[in-house]
Amino acid sequence: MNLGKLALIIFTLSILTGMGAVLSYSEEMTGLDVMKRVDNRDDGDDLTQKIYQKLIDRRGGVREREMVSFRKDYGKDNKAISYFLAPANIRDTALLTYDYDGTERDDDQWLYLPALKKVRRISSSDRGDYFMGTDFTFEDIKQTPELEDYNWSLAGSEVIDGHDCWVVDGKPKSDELKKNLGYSRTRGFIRKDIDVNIRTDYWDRKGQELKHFNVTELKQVDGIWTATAMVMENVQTRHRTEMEFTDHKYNTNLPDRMLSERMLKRGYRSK
Amino acid sequence: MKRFFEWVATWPKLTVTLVMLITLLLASQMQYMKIDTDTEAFIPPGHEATLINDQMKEIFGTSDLLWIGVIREEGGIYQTDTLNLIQSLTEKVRLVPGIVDQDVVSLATEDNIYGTADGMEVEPFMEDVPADAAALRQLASSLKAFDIYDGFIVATDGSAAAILAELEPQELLLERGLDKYAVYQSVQAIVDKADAKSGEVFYVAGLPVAEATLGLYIQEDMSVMMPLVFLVLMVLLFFTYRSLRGVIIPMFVVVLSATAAMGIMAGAGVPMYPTGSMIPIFLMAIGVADAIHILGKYYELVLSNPDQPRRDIALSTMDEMWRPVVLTSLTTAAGFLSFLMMGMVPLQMMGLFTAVGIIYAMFVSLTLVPALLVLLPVKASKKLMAQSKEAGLEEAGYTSVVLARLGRWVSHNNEKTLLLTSLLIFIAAAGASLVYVQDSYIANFQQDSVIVKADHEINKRFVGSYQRNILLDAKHRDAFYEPKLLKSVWAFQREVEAISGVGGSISIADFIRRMNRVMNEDRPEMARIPDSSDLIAQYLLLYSFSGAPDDFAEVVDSEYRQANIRIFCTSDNFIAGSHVEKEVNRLAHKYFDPLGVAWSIAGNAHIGYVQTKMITDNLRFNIMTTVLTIFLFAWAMMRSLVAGLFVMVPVLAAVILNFAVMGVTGVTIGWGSSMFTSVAICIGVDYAIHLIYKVKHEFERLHDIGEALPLSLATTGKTIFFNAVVVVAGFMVLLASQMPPNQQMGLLVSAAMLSSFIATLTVLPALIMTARPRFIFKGEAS
Repeated sequence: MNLGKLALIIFTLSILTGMGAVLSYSEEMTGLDVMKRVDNRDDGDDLTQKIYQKLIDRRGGVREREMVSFRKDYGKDNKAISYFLAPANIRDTALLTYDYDGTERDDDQWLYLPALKKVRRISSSDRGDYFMGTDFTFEDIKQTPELEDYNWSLAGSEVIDGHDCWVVDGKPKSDELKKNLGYSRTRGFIRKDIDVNIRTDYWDRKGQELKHFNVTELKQVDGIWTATAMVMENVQTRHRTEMEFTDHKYNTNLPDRMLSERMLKRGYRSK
Repeated sequence: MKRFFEWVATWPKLTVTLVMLITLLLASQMQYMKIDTDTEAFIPPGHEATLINDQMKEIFGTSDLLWIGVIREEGGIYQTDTLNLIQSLTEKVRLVPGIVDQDVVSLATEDNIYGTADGMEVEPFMEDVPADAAALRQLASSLKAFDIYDGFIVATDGSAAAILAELEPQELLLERGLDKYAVYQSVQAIVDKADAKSGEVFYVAGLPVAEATLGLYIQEDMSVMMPLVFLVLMVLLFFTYRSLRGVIIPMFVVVLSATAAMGIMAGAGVPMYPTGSMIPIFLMAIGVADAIHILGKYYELVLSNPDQPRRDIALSTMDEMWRPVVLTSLTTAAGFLSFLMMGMVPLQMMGLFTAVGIIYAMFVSLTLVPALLVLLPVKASKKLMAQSKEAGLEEAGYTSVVLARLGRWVSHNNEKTLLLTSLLIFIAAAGASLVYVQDSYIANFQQDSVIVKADHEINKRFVGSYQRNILLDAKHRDAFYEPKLLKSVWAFQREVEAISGVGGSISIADFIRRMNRVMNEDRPEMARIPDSSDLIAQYLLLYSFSGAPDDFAEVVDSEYRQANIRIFCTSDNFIAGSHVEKEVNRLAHKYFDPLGVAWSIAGNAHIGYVQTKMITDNLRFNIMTTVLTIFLFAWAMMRSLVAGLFVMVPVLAAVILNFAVMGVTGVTIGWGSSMFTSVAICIGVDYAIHLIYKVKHEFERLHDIGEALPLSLATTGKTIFFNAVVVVAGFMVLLASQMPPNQQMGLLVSAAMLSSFIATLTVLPALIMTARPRFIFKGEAS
């Protein structure tokens, strides 16, 4: 066999291998891929915003709260401080939260009670616990769930309100997790164009439909897609929580001392 | 009427076919039968108590809880294995379809609120089941210190723990293809399978259990008692007539009318209430009377004219009998219809459909019975034939002989009879006045039944499974942050808890007191309402970081405008309940009126109380309307006021005697025994009607009351005797019921029937002899 023939054979093989590689391109993303994209989406390094909460019971009874909140990222961790503005009987109550990535270290929370003039530490909560009497659990209120706790699967695509979305099912990996989270299954709808989760349905441990989460208003603020209004409704108790966010300011370089225990007592002073 | 019977006699087979077809058509509706044992069914829809209770359910959730008691006598429940058992049971119960997961309450679900150096902690009492002695002691003492839960989810003496579960609302259960009984069965199955290695004992109690079981009992009762009544009737009829026809004809009437009535009821969409199970029994016992009286007359005619063609005998029987049959049916039906005047739907429906069945029995008696008499060959006992031929009807059979003798004695000693009866009634009146009202839902069950035992154990060890709820409406939002109002709530509770029969109470004030205590270094004296409403609001905010949003949903609404004070009572019996109701009302006036806070009472114990009170308050009215209805009917149909009065006398005497027996033996008035009076009057009045018709008939023929009376007693009296025996036997079958109120009712009606039979054959003739009323002695000089 001469060198020419060998070269031809090798060349042919290389073409075939190359085409094989071309033809074996990935046809679809996995559920986990989608969730990772959601997790990695730019949400700014710090954020100042006003939060308006409306708790509505099934008979239409309403409770409202208003607060101003500052959040700053420290790598994967973040710190946040919120001051209550209304109702009057909890005005100047302030909440400081240190949120650590992963589940190994419990988050830290402190609440300043002006009527008592004391800072109180709040016990670390279970992820399935409800947050401040709302329909959101501590798990729901986070930007994204802990990805490694669920088995994610891509259930397809669906058009929601004119936007093409990934449909991603999440199942807690163990019964223990199901119990802690209070869910047996979730189904998220993630906009393909901007990687924002705009809707999630939840099923309880008995497999009965439990809650619906919907982003009702989505805006670009300083170039960052921001949900400015959302609602979580418990379809079993027919209790509903609406949240609105205004006065966003991203990346203002909040000083670290803004997010300390000292600032809890000082209270919020609008400029 | 004569033309009608002639038509029937000409077309007997067609008549039989038609009647059977109509009945089958009605019977086919029975497939739609539903059962309703809801305690609230007894209260009329739209009644204030139900409205308030519904309002409470809407805002705060139901008071009807399923209680599972885990008892460990030896060493108490604070031991690792027992706590593990409680935890696993709780977890399993939460997953039962039809149980509201997040509303299950036990040691394994509830949070402890406690203070730490730098804050308030809200954590499960048992994150993990404690494994060592120190941790177990810690758990016991933390429950002891939390007064809401001490006695509620654990017995105060530590011997037992409770798991409380709430069922989904009825409509939701039906949507899921479930019912109360299915849910209770699943829970009971979990409890039965529980691995009680250390001798733990389990009890399942609470209103949903009682309601579910009662529904089962109704079905079982029906399937046992119906065939039993059937059998008893057949045996009795056979021994009375000693012929197949004597059995078949009355059985046709009762079976057809009972089937038709139940079919019409189901078809009309009326569910089977606990009272409804009585309807077929009533109809069997009552419906048989028409046929017995027709047969009685038939045999009387056969004995006196044995050679007449059977068509003629049948026609003359009907000619003489249709009036008393129609009159007795209509008066009895009217009597039962008087139940419609009572507000309670289950009693109304019982009255209505018994009346429907009675009218149907009348219809069958006037169509099918003559048709069958025409179809069947004439036959009568040869012995009786011979006796009557020799010595007349008064000597036909032992019963007739005795009754004729009785008639003769009474007609000679009429004054004596009346005086003796009067004396008896005076004595009875004293006894009757001893009767009082006492009832409870749990009294529907046998004393030695599992349910009663469970109810007893649960109510002995915990705060009580019967709830009264005080609903407060302060009319403006955030009212329940105000220290002044909360302090009144607490003071109210302290006084309420001192009432005997009250095991404990829970309100939003208790949670706030607890928070104030733990926020103040856990000093016991700080378990009071703080003086600042801002502080209260901030405590609750602090709490909301670790508690669930619905943690206080059972005690305060989300606007803090309305609150619910849950008062736990250890019994639902009427007398204890009256006392608690009176005191709670007094205290609510005292504490909430001055603050301008509106209040009302709800809860299952209150509903039970209102229900019993309605039944018994209505009893007087019911007795009076029944008496009046029947009296007016008899007056109108016999066209004589005095006849109307005479008809009522024997049965009233019987009722007075019965009340005396109740008073002396300590039988109380509850929903079962309250019905007996009216039922007894409705049925018993027939005896007098039949006898008066007969006496009148014989007197018109013989013109001698001294002859007419013994003859009437020997013939119609005998039939009344058979009738009474059948009714008594029929009602005695109720003794086989699993529900004591039914048994009581059976016994009381039987006794009343017996005495009203005796009164009809003694007091009534004596009265006729003495008063010589014009409706009998028409035209004769008295």
